[in-house]
Amino acid sequence: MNPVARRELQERFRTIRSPLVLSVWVLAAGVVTFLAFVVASNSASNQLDNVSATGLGSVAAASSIGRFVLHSLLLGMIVAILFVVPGQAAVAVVGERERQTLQLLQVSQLSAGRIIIGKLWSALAYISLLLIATTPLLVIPVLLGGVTIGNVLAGLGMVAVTAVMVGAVSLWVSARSSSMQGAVLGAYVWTVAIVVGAMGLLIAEFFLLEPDDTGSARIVAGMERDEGRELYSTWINPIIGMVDASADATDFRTQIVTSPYRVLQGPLVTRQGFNPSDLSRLEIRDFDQFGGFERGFGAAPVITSQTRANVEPIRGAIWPRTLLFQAGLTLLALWSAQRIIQVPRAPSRGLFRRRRAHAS
Amino acid sequence: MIVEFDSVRKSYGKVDALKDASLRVPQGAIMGLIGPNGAGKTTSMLIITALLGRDGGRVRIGGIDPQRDPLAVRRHVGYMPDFFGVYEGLRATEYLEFFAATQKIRPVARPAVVADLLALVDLQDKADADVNTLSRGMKQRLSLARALIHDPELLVLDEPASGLDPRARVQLRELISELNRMGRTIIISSHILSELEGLCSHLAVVDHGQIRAMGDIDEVRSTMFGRQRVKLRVVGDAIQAAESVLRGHDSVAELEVFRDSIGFALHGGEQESAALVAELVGAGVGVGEWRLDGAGLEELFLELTEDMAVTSNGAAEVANSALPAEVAPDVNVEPTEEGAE
Repeated sequence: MNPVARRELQERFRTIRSPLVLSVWVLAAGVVTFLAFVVASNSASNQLDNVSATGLGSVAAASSIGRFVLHSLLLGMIVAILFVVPGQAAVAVVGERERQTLQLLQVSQLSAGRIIIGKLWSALAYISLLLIATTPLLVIPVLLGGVTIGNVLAGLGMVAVTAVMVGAVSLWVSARSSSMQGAVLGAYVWTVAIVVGAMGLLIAEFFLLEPDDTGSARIVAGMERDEGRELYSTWINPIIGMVDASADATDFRTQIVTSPYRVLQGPLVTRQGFNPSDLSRLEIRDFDQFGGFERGFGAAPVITSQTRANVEPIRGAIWPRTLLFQAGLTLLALWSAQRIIQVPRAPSRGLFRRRRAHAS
Repeated sequence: MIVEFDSVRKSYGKVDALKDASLRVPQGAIMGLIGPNGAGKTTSMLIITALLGRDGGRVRIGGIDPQRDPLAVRRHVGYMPDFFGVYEGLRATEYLEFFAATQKIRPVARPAVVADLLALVDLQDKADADVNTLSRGMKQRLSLARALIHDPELLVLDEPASGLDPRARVQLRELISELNRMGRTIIISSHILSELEGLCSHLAVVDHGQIRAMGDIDEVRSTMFGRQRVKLRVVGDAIQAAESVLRGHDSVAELEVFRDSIGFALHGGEQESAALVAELVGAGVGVGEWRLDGAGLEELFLELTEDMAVTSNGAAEVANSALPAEVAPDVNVEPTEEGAE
């Protein structure tokens, strides 16, 4: 095991703080799950006259509740990750600098890359523990139905990949910083810039750059094939990546209980486009019933669950692109971080002279 | 030579920390680096430990270029900086085991290595003590043990006695001598020059980024002052013959003749000294004692700094104020009370 990671974990788990935080985390996740279940059940009761009745109504309601609970949990987890990871990783390198131990590591047989990887491991090991502790709760939506193990794993995977990316970027900020406060502030600014910035870009791309009428839609045997359009900003958005990996965008509004992902449905469906593949089985009235082809953030073309099976998305899933983007950003951040702490440095040259972090 | 510097240059922005500095450290020596603040001592040490790159010149540590293969150099070098980096809540044993792991010592070998080192620095009874609770002297010894964890041939100690009480200084000094006897080459910088006196076999005087004098201590004294004070005790009644030989010698001045001894200033180093002894013996003078009363390191240091104050005025101040902020980013050199080098 990487000695830096081992020492940090040893240091971290020796105090009472870690088990306390772990307990609070599991408790909070339990509360979120319970509340999500209660809210979803109430909503389902309102939607259906008699949810407790046996038959298809109750099955559909349970599936819908399952999805709602999973989506709520995953959203809660990714938001928690975005809050916790920067704080953990941002102090990693600058903390060594402030304790005057960085030079002791640099003079050892550890390469700069191994020091950075050790730091990333230690920051993520703790987060991983928190995620693993939450895993039993994620089984509840599977038991309720409407959610597959694949949905859970894909969503969890995207949360983990986001944690790695945010951790790597925060480490890079830490390597550049000269004070703990500056590093923590910088890490949160970058995290907000990545997440909120990506959302801002999506809003701009979806609303401001929307073409008047592209004429992309065409009627095929009475059914409109919607070409939609590519929304490039969805590729860089970690939340959209997670949503895309763990759910079907066309599903959000047709459920008995509206998914918390619902707000993202408009851009997701617009980007996805759809192509009716088995026209004989389409029921046009389903489209009319749920709002037809109106546009808007959260009010995009909607297809009912009955017709969904017969409609194929035109564009591929977003999450592989998000995954690629996040992997690229992670590698770039880690490479830059190890370059910053690498010694000895070659003499600086002209334009490529790096800005140097300043010790206190 | 375990350390070879040839015309090494290093600058921080507009401030030249090393200007064509050339240094040689023989295997098995205890080399003292002395010089005023901002002279370039710490910069030299950081280059030796592959923590800092050079801008020009040639450096070889055990035949390896530290800029090309820093990890190989670090295998041969143990470095003890002038600060003690500490992790919260680690015991002395864990502290050393961690650094043993960073030096890639096999897990099975670590406990024995750590135990041996704790015994060497006389901290066996503090093995389970929280590092934070150790006294400064103990921390210095633990720091020395950390620098020795991978059994390096060359030890680089930056101000090791700084902040220690007299007893701790004596202990550290004995430890350094012992390590030298065990075959290690040691480079040591200190502002407490009396600590280096009698400890170092060799000396390098660093000033304004240049090595002004280098060699064994007597050579350096001779280079710095150009002369040495000698006390000659004559056997029998040959005092007049001895005086006659000395007065006829160009390199001898300031004679003081006593009943059975003569004190005088001898210009030159060991060779002149040996030649003069041979000449005296040749003239039938029985040499009972030949003692070089060289200038102390304190005197050397004062001479050097006085010279610097006269010749360069503000330059040293510029070096002192400008270097720490520039050096720190690369290698996290914290300014000492006196300022970084």
